[in-house]
Order: sequence, then C-alpha cells, then structure tokens
Amino acid sequence: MPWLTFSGLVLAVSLASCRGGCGDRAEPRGEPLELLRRVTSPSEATPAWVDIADDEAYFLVAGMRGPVQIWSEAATDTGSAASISAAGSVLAARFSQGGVFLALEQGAVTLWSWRENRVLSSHDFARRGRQATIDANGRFVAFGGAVLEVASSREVGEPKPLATQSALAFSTNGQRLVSAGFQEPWIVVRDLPSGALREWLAPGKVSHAALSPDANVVAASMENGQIQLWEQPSGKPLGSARGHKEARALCFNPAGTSLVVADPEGFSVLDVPRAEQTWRADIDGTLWVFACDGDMLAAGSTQGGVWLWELAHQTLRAHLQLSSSAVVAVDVSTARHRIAAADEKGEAAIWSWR
Amino acid sequence: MSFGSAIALVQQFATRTGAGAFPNLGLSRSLFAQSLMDRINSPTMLDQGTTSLCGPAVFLFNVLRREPEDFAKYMIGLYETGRGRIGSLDVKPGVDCRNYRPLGSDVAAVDWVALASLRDGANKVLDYDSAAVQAGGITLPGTLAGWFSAANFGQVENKTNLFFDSDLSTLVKANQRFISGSVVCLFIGANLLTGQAGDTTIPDHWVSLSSPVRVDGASTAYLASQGDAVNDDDKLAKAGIGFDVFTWGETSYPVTKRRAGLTVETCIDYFYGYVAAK
Repeated sequence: MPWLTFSGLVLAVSLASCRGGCGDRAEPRGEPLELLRRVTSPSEATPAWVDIADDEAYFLVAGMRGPVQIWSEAATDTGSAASISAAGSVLAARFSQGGVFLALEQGAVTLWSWRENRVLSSHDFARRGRQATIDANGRFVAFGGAVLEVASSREVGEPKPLATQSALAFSTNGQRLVSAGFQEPWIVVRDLPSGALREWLAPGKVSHAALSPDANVVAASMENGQIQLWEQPSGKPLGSARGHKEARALCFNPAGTSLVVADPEGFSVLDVPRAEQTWRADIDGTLWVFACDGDMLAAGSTQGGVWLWELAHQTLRAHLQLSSSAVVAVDVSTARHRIAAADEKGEAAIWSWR
Repeated sequence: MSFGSAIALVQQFATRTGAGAFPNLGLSRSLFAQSLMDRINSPTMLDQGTTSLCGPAVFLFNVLRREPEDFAKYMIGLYETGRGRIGSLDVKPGVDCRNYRPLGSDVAAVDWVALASLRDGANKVLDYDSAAVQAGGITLPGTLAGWFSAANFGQVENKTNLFFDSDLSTLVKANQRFISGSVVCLFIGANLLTGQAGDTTIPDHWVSLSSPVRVDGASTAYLASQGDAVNDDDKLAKAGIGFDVFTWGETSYPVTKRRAGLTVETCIDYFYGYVAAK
C-alpha cells in the first residue's frame, strides 16, 4: 500500500480508491490506433530523440550523434524529407518556430530551417552541458546553467551550472525555468525574462524536476524515491510523497493539479491539492522512456512496447508493439493526436488516434 | 604512451565488427568508438554521473591523461572480450555488470563500461551491477593505491584515515606532491563540495586535485617546512582556503563553490587524506 505525506500528515492511500484501475494492466479502450508510417534510421545512428511537429504532418528522429532526420507522415513517401547532421552528441532535438532546434553537448545550439537547409539562428555557449531545452514559444533556450534569449542572442543573468545536472525544464507558460543537480543537489529556479534566481538545497540527490504549467509549483524526485513540492516564488514547501526509488520522469497535467511520476514499472498520479495518489498504471516489461503532452501520456519499454494513456479519464488508450528492441525515444502530441516512438536499432513509427 | 596511438587503436576498433561483451549498452560499436574518442580527446568527459563510482573515475581520469593508449586498450578489451588490462591490473566484470542497461541520464554507456567494470571486477564482496548501487561503489584507499601501482604509476603513497579527519599538514603534503607533478586524489566528505551540512564524519568521495592549494590566497608551499606545527596554528585554522578538483565530470570544481569563505578548519573536517602517484 503506498502512502503519502503531505503537510505533515501521513495518509494511507488504498489502491481500491483509484478509479479506472490502479496498478492493473487494463485493456485499451477506444478505437485502435492507425499506423501512419514506419521508418528506419541509419543503422549506426542509435536514436535518442523523437518529436512530432505541432502544426504539420512531420516527425523527427534524432540519433545520439545525429543525424536529425525529418520524416513526413505519408506512408507513400520514400526516404526522409530532410536530414541535418550533428557535429557532436545531441542533447536535444525538436521542432520549434518553424524549424528544428538542435543542441549539442559541446555547447552549440542551432535553429535550422530544414526546408531551406539553412541555419536560422545559432549560439555557442562555449561550454559542455548535460541538459538543454527550448521553451514552448521558442523565446528562450536553456543550456546547462545558462539561459539565452533567442531574439536578442543575449544570455539572461549569470549562469548557474550544477554538477551532474539532472533536470532542466521550462514551465509551459515560459515564465520560469527549473534546474536541478544530482551530485550537487541544489534546485535553481529562474524567473523569465528578468533572470532573477532562487536556489535551495534539496533534501536529497535530485533525479528529476518539473514546474507546473503556471510556474507556481516545483516538483522534484529524489534518489530515495521521495517526491517534494515547493510553491513559487515563496519557496514554501507544499508537501512530500514517497514514490518509487527510480523515478524516470515527472510531469504535471495541464491544470497543474496532478503530478505524474513515471518509474520502471509504470507510473503514479498524485493529486496535489488533495494529497492523494489517484491512479496507478503498470506496464508489462520495463518502462524506459516517458513523455506527456496535455492529458496524454506515452511510454516505451525495453521490450519494444509502446503505451498511450489518457490522464483525464484514467484510461489506457493503446498498447502497441514497435519491435522487440528497447524503445529509447517516445513523443506524444495531443493537438495532432499522434504518438511516435523509436527503438535502439533505428526503427521508428508514428500512429494516430481519433 | 602516445595520444596518436590511442586514437589509431580506436579507429581500428571502429572498423571491426562483432557484438560487444556488453549487449545492453544501447549504442552501436561506432557510437561507442566515438564516445571513447571524445574521452581520449577530453579526459574530463569521463563522468560518474549519478553513480557512486568516484574512485574508478579519479583513477581512470588520471590514466586517460597520462596513458591514453593504455586506456584505449583497456576499453577495447572490455568491449570486445569482457576483459580489460591496464599494466598488471586485470579487470573482468561479472555477467550482471556486463548485462546492465545504463540509463543515459544516469551515466553514459561508455563511462559505465569503464568505471563499473573496474569497480565490479575489483569488488570481491559486493557486485556493482546497477547505477543505483551505492555500497558496492565505494573504493577504499588501499584499493585505489593498488590500482595506481598495478597501472605502473610510481611513488604511490596512501596517506588516508577512514575514521578520523586528517589535518592541515597532510593537505600541505598533498599539495607538495601535486606541485611536483604527481597525481593527487583527495579522500573527502562530498558535502564539502555540495554545501550540505553534516556528514563530516564519513569520507564518501574521491576527487583529483586540479590546482595548488591556497591559504588566504597564497601558496601553501611555504607551510611545508613547518611540518606538523601547522596543525596547532589557530590563526591558520581560521584562514580562508581554496583549491580546485576534478569531480563529477568537471575539470576544475572550486571547493569554495558552495562554501564561500571556506576556512582551513572547516575544510579539514571533511578531509581524510590522499593517495598520490607519479
């Protein structure tokens, strides 16, 4: 029986209280998904990233050291629509502002127009990083402990690097950025665009961190499985919960009222205001990668399985089999009703749902 | 041992075929070779990540810097045969260690092969077969010193204490070894670097000294002639101290990063001695 501690209260949460099945392996509900396209990346380019374009029928698959290949969803097409090479290890690759955002471990970040095969903008942070990301509006780029305002090509405030950085995430509204360290277990929150910083020692080594969509709550998972919540900008602790020792990802629902904590066996959903675990879903096999967008959650397993859940209705929407190899990248798009995944051998596929 | 020979070995390795002895690394031979090349070009890329493999990290970081060809042979041997050698150090990781699937966000696959193999191969009691293992990852000073000896480093010196913090005179001696060109690995409580309170009574982290030790902004070389007397100097105990270390994939992590105004006496509370080699 999992138990949660919020604001000093210890609450026993019965699995029987969960709706839609807690910890069960439910059957998918709804119409089967439609396979749109299956593609194969170069055999040597082990995929690390998959991203679905928000507003057009394309998806990308990026290898650990490139290339970034852009594929149309049309099964009748042959080959990829474009390919971008990478001169180093890829920290992040995703569609942004009509182009492709690409960040390399060595410090270079670039926005590519893949249709015109040219660089739209670029910046070199001139240092190595472990994490990089771009905010949803393409206004800010975060790399390690630094933040770049794209339009002005100026770094915002002083960099705050953390050894063994384990998390780097913008809030959906783009107003804050959270960064966290594992071996250097600090949490750093930066307000945007001001660049104002707040930092504090976490109660343990931080494995993951996330901001609520409105940027008012920071969630972090610790090495020991503890989940901790803080209010922003006050920094006031909101409570803690005990979770799985190996958290794989954290994400909030669009309202910021639920926190999803993925682990190797599945995921738990914590209702933040009511201090309850409301749903637990387990998968067959070992969950390796996880993605969320709006109310849709996606996971890939080391056994080649791909899962899609709908958080709002606490239902398993689909269970697919990409291949028999480990799924190493997954993405889901609520707006376009798409899920895409890639395995370690370079097989990738995109499906749609109604 | 030359840098060029190391690069040539990795290039030859990349052209060969065959499944590796670590079947679940999640990356191709070609990507493994490129990652290995990165570390030969830039040894600070060797990173323990979220593992507790700081002992293997400081040892192999120094092997990489001094003997890149030895490192390349060690890694290629591990990948192709499951057995690597550095000098007389024979490393044979167990099946669980070789079959582990490292999560990239925890530790890079190539670093898992380098670090976990050494720890697992040398650990007679505790397996090191998962990035989450903590107890199996702790390297005792005698083990670290033995690795340096086996790897043909000379003048190996182990001046550590597992149960009591060390003293300023020992840190001064460590600094003397460093400025004379030795590799110097400091045995410390990690909280010295993170700024967390407590845990001054347990050494739990190895770092490699990457700058001279400075007291009140000045070199400590002049203190060497005073011997153990520096330990009883109250004024010195309150003085500021600073130096940089290789740790967690960073070349020059300032010991004062999370402890502005660090004093000698506070620093010594977290210092348990050193292992040096040349």
